[in-house]
Amino acid sequence: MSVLAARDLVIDVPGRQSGQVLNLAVEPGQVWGVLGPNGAGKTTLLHTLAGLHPPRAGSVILDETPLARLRRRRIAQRLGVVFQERVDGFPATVEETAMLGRHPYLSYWQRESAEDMRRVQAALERLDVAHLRQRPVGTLSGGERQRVAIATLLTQDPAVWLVDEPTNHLDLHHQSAVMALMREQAAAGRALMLCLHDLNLAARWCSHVLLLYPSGEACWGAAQNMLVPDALERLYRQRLRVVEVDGAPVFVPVNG
Amino acid sequence: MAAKPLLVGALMLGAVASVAQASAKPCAVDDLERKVCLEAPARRIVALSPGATELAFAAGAGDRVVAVSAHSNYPPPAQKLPSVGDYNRIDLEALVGLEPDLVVGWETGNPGKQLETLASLGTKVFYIEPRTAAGVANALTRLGRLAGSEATAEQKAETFLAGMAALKERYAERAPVRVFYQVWDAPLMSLNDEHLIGRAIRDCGGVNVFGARPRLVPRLSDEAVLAANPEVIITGSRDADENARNQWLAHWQPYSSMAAVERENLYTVPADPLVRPTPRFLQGAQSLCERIDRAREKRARTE
Amino acid sequence: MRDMRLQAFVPLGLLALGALAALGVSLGVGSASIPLDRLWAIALGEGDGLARTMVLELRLPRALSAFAVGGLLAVAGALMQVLLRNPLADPYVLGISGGAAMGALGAMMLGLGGMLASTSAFGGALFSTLLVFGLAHGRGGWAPTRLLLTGIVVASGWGAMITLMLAMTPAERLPGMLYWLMGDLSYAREPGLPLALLALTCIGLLPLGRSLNVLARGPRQAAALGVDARLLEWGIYAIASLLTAVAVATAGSIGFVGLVVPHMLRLVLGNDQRIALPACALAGGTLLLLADTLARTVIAPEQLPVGVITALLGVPTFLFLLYRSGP
Repeated sequence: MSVLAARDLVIDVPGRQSGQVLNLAVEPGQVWGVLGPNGAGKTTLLHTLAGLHPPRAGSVILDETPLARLRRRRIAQRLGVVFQERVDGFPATVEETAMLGRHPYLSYWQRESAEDMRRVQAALERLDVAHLRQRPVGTLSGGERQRVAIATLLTQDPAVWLVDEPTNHLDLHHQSAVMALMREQAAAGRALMLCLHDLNLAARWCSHVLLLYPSGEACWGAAQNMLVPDALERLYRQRLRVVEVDGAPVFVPVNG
Repeated sequence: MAAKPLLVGALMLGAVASVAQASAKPCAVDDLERKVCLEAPARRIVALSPGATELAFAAGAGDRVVAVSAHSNYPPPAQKLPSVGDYNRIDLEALVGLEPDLVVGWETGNPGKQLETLASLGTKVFYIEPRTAAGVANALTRLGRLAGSEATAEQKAETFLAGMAALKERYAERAPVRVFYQVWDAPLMSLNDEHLIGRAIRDCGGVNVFGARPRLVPRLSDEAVLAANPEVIITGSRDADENARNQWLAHWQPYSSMAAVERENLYTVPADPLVRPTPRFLQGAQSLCERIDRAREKRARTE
Repeated sequence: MRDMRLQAFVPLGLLALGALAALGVSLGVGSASIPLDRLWAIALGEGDGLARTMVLELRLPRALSAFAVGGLLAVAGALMQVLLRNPLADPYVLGISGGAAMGALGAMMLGLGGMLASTSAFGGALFSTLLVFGLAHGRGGWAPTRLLLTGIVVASGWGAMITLMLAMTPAERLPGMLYWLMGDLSYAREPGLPLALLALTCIGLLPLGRSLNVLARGPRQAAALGVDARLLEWGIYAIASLLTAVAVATAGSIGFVGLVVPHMLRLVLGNDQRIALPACALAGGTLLLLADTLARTVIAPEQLPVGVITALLGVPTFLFLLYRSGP
């Protein structure tokens, strides 16, 4: 049974005449990777699935209910997003930022409880930013801010994770740690969809892959079926070579 | 006190003027201490404030005034003359086009730059700014000199000074009354003892409660008035704003602890004669003295 | 969360004490100063007539008005800054006060004063709000920069019209208009409405504080965290405009409070709106109360426009805090 499904969905990418109708279902335990060149509409797809961008046609179904019929608060209790861009116009500490993840669960008059604080603490530790707790987010490095954003989503703890470029700004160690966290969440019954620009991360960590072409075409399926050199070369208009490391394919761009 | 040297000044100026007349080229020193000489007595005069208009007419030069500033409503013939704009925004082109041989300016009221431009174009500008009764008389005789109507002007000046002296004689030594003269309502403003009206209050035997303030027109709070506890509150009014002025006065009514309110001494006086430094100031001062005296009488009755 | 409660109540308690102290000072000083024990006697219904009149009928309404107006301006500023996610936003930048000034000065030019001028200012403020909002909103999009730009342009348009109006006004009416433009509390004698509005706003915004914190991260992030961002933005804009309109109608255009107070508090207390908004109300009110007390005592019995004092007090304090907090 799917938690998140696209039904006859056509995403609305400005300037694109038509797009392929998407009919797909994301189930608990799955990690979907969305791959495509720049401008193919990966972020638009993610925002559409989150109900933050109206589709051109069709609908998004969350737990059997069309997203459009749900209130934002109800959606946020089930589905969370990490954006690529963040607005930090005002100073706020790392702890306050992570605490925002509890917002969907608190009523108007309710204050954050000790339990909420414990979740924040755990999330910060999990993302290796607990030592930055009192620092204003504006003073952090790009990678630290990325981890704080993921910690916020972990605090929110939704059933569906939509993450735009989870490894943005991260060093190699933290890339692996974050991707491991994603898979761990899937194993715990969450459904994840990640926009990725690194093929190899998709190859290593994703169970399913959606290829999004600049023309609006798309195809999707199990990772091992989708990650074949022909399709990927057409996707990126780039020759690739495949080598195998520890049983997983690694794609390397080659000239010519 | 200050009147005496000015009176002497007036006599000296008169002497200067009579010398000038001998050469048929009238000269006079204006209130900026500049000597202004005309080729011949002025035939085309423009007055740049309602007060200047009144003074020119009173000096016997009314038939030679060709234009005035807006709101020049006295004497009645002045109302028929063309206007060259408000005193603080003069239509310079219209003014120059009238080819005046004498412009009577107001130093602190008219825009200085405009009058300088006018002077640089060759027009004679005579600044007047009477701050005392003697100054009013003085301005009259000097304008009369420049306009060739000296006899009329001097006679007017003498009558005025005599009238003012009589007023002072009659009221100045009477029991002092604490007076608040309200210039404006929002912001609340009064005037100090240097002001022509402040001097008149003294001549009426009144004590201006804000007389010692350093600024000519101090800006005050209601509280300051309450603390000063005046026995009479007076404000100038015209027919057109009678209602507004009565509202100003009504504003004080709730403060029943103030002597002026308790004894119902809230008065208006006709504004124009009082606020314009002209011979009509005698009437203005007379009304002022009467109001103050009424307050004095009420006090006598209550005590 | 005992420590978080404490975190909230200590600064608010201190600010409230500060406000009370400022009120005491403001009631005590003036053309005749009244010592604390006599103030107390007056509060208990004793004391002589003149002192009673001064304190209860003149100083108290004015002090409460000053407090309410300062609080309204600071809260309106804080809301606008969250809405535009720009610490430079304040009610005046968005042209609201320009519209109010047009309304008030227009009434004054016609010789109307008091309530009519206030009502007219209120109307002008709301008209300007709708104008800026309508023009900035255009076809769907509501980018902060677009709103700010529209506000600034509309404000400068009002500025030109105000200058035109001042140029056409008879000289005797000018002082009143200029004092209005610089902000003047001498004629604010009805503190009831602004005070009630301030209290209602603070209480009403309390449950929305966390949503505002989320909104400060941008409407998309807010929506993703379960906030109906569009509705909240409209609501904030309407409330901030109403607060500004009432403040301006009460005391003329007093600049700087709406910009400086939220900013100073943010530097000291952080950016949790549940603390920041009530703190703005208290600190803004106290600042304006003190400024007005100075305005009427510095060269007493003469008066200064309070807007001059807020700027003279606010600028150095602000710059100092900014300098010290700098990296």
